[in-house]
Amino acid sequence: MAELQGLGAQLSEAERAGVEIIAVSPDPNERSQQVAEGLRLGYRFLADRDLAVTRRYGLVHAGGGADGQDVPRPATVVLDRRRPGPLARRGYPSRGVPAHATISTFTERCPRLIRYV
Amino acid sequence: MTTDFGAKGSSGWLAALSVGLAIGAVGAYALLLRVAIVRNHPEGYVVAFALATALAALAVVRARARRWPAWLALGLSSLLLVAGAWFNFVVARVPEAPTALRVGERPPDFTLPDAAGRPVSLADYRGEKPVVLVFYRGYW
Repeated sequence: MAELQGLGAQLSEAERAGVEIIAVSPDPNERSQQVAEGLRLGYRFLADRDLAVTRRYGLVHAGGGADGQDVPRPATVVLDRRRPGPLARRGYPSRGVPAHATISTFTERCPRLIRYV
Repeated sequence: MTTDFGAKGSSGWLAALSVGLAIGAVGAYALLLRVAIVRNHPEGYVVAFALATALAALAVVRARARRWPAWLALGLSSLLLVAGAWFNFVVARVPEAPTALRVGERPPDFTLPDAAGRPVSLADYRGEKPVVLVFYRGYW
């Protein structure tokens, strides 16, 4: 939740930089909308109910849920609009990018990103 | 008959300071989550709990009579220190995934519904704008 709020605080900067922020979770649409409204987050929330997309990104924590269910690993993937692959991937524990990075941190650590904007 | 008011008084102040620091750290982290330096350094509250524990321990040592406030402060700060350290260094750490997408790999395309039920495809953004995908745990 801290990361969602952190990125929400950077939304205007992201919009100025032409960056789209998209949140993905297994929560149903209604729950995502409640979270977005409750935290006053202006970016898109997508529902990956069966974790199919999360699994394709290799980000499932098998049995990591409170009831033993599979859950997503918290991670942020930065995708350049031109390069075929991600510029950076970050999850817990963080590797080079702080766990609660701002858009500025992303652009500082990924100079190629800002060049294409 | 002499009474060491100095030590007893300082013990009370130390205990109060310890409790204030411990509770203040919890409140500060919750209220200041939008501040980057707080958000980017969550281990800060563990440091605060450690300081609070040290202050409470000093309060216990310096107390002469009515030691319970100092012991209460020590108990509270120690509990928060253990809980905070466990949460920050154990719970918040997710094992690395060897199958996770690597930097430079092509990200899988997908189409998922947004909060309004409208389909959103990653391919729509290719060549248009950079995308930051945030995968979060959910189940809240």
